[in-house]
Amino acid sequence: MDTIVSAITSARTPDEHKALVATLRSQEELLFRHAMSLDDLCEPLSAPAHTLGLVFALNVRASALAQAGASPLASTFVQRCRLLLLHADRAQLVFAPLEFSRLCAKFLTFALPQPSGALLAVRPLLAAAAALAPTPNHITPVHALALQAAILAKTYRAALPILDATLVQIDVPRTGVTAHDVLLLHYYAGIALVGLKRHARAAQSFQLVLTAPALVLNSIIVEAYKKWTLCSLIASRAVPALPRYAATAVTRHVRSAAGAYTDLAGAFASRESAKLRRVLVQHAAVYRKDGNAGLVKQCASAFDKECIERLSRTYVTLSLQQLASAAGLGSAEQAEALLLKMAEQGELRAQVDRVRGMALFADSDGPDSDELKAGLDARLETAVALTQKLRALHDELAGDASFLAKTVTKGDRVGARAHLGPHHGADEMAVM
Amino acid sequence: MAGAELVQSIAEAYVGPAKVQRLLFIAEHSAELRQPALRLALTELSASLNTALYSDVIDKRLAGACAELGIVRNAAWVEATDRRAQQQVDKIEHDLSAAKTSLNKEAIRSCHNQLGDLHAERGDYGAALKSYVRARDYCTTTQHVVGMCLNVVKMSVLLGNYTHVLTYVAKAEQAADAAEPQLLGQLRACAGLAQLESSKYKLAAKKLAECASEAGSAELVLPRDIALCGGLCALAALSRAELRKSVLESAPFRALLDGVPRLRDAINAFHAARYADCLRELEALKPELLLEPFLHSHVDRLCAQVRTKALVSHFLPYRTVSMAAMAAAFSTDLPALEQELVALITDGTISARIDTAAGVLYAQRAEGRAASFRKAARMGDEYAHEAKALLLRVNLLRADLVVRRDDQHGHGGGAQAGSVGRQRGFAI
Repeated sequence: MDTIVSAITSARTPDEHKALVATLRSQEELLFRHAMSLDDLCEPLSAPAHTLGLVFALNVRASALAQAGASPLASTFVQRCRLLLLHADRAQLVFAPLEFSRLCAKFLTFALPQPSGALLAVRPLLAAAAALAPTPNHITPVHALALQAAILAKTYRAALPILDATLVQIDVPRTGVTAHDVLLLHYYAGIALVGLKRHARAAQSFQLVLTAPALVLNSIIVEAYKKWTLCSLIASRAVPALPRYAATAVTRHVRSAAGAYTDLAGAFASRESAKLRRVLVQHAAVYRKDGNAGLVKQCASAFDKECIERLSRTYVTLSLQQLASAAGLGSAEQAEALLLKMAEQGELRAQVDRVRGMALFADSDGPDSDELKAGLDARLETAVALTQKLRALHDELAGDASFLAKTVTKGDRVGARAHLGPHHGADEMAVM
Repeated sequence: MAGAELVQSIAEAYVGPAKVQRLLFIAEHSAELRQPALRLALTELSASLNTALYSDVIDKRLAGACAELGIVRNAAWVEATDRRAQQQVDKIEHDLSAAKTSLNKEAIRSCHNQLGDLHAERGDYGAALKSYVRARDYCTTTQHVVGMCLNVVKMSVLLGNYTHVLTYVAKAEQAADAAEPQLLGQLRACAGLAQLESSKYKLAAKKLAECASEAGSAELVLPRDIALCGGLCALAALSRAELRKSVLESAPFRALLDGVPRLRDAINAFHAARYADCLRELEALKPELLLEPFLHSHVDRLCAQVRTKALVSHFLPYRTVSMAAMAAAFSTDLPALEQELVALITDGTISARIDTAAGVLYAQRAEGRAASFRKAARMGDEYAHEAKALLLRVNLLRADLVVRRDDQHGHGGGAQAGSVGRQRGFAI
């Protein structure tokens, strides 16, 4: 044991760290035997200087805890982990990424039962994700964990650093990321965005799950499809077709796996209020079971709003009674209430004439264009930056023999026919 | 034209398979004309070699009506005719093999054509088509080629195979020279009918409006029918300027239209913006239109298009229109008109809004600036998302991170994902 401790404390240079990891890996048995006394071993170690040692020690400690299940000990473990995750040394993590992300997962598992544990876990996990990622654009297994913690703690805003980052880089040796982690990341990101009421972006995030390369359907994809359908309806009032580059395994089977949701989308598109209500009642139990009842409710109110907006584009004046019947609302009072709410939130420009029982719709000309123009500039910048990235990737791929060989020969098997041809993709994008 | 006269005129004007087809079509689609049409059709059939259709009509297609008329199948005639036809086929095939051994191109061609004619008369249009197409390799002059094409086109029309029609019309038009106006006219009419069949009304109108009276042929389609189809398509699909240019100012087609005074009046009324008259004439013409085999399945859609076009053209020059006046101009009532207008506004055909309190329709001049700003912003967002998705996907593929069945790292997958929401019950 003492040799291990001295090895941990003496390692300073990268070479020494590399050697340390090899030693620790070979000595895991020994650590296990001393699992109960590891707390003492950790005591003098500091997170930034002895990151590697702590990672291995705490990993073993957690395994021992899972067997013992003692609560005060668990709380100590969580405390230590917290400090480690917050102050981990990036340079050392390079040598043991798998162990580190495993520790992060264990940390979350042990933190959740603690009082307000999820909330306490958010910041360390965010820091850990940043420390493990070679660049801010890299995806790590810890990203999904951090989002999960943020969602459970309902602090969606805390997840913004991850939600706003352009997470597109993959580096398996450096981060140990798997396809499963990437799916979970985007699934959780979608949920967090729903929590922030940014349904359009949530739909995009869920769509990333649906378009990930896949040979089989799994339950994350199916759940993402359900939420994608609902978010699309809320945000854009219609469900777009799945992009053609989505894997065939997904496009072919996902619809049948989520029948209640395709029914809802169909009823929404039919513009018939009665039909929508019927579907809502028919599948209410399914929606509740899937934990989507809230989103479905928002869909229903999006439908009502869509009806009113459509009428406002068609009519200048309309009696509230007619409005209610045309939009499939119960009574004139209900229609009036909804109309006022929409007008208050600036979604519609309308007035109500109580004396004559009339709704007056003003010319619908959206918000001021100055604001829009600023938004446009920002978007242009994003687009230019992304285009540069695409070009770089394109050039890199053109010279990457192994990738070309893989996509061209294995293309069909991987279901990658459509995403094949990064050439096409990049060029299409560039001219758009 | 009254019903009985119509049947009589068809029986007089058409010959061959087209006559039988039309009469049977009327017998099937009009209860009141069933008996006279059926009787004429069977007379015609029993003078032909088409025993298959004869038996089919009596035993299946119109078995009820035949029983009412007391018509029974003449089995002896069927058998005798079949035998006779078979003898003819044998004879021609014998000639054909003789011609083939002596390598006489012209004889081979004529045998194939004779065989085609015979099959056509027997009602086996598919076999006839094959025979005519076989003659193709033995055509020596352009006239032969055009004749072959016309034969193929006729068979394809009878078979209802309209894609064939267009390819062979194009072939014939390449081969034919201007010296054959009648042939060209017939081909054009067939092309127009093919476009009509595939619901491309604008193309059909243009093709048919180029036809003159010589485009009709008793074997396929009469000038009057060309006028009906062409006129209705033009009314439904052409703009007012096009209507004037290709219909009203085209002397040959005007001559054709004079054969159908009602439709001519409707077109004139439309052009003069008297929409109520136009729609009234069209309504009166409808029973006759429905008995036209080429138009039958399109009549409702075409008439609806005419009405929509009339509404749009009526509203076009105004900024505000009183809906009561508009309802009067279209001889309808306010609620019905409002419903029609709502449908048109919703699908974006007209840009207007309704003031129900005042009963006024306001034209809405689209304010393009804000809309295009918004559109650009949306495109930008979509681009950013697409680009991000592309980068991610390519990177996933490069690292070979594909969702597989045996995902070693899968710890429960979506079951876990789904359960987060359920167990913790966070509000979504």
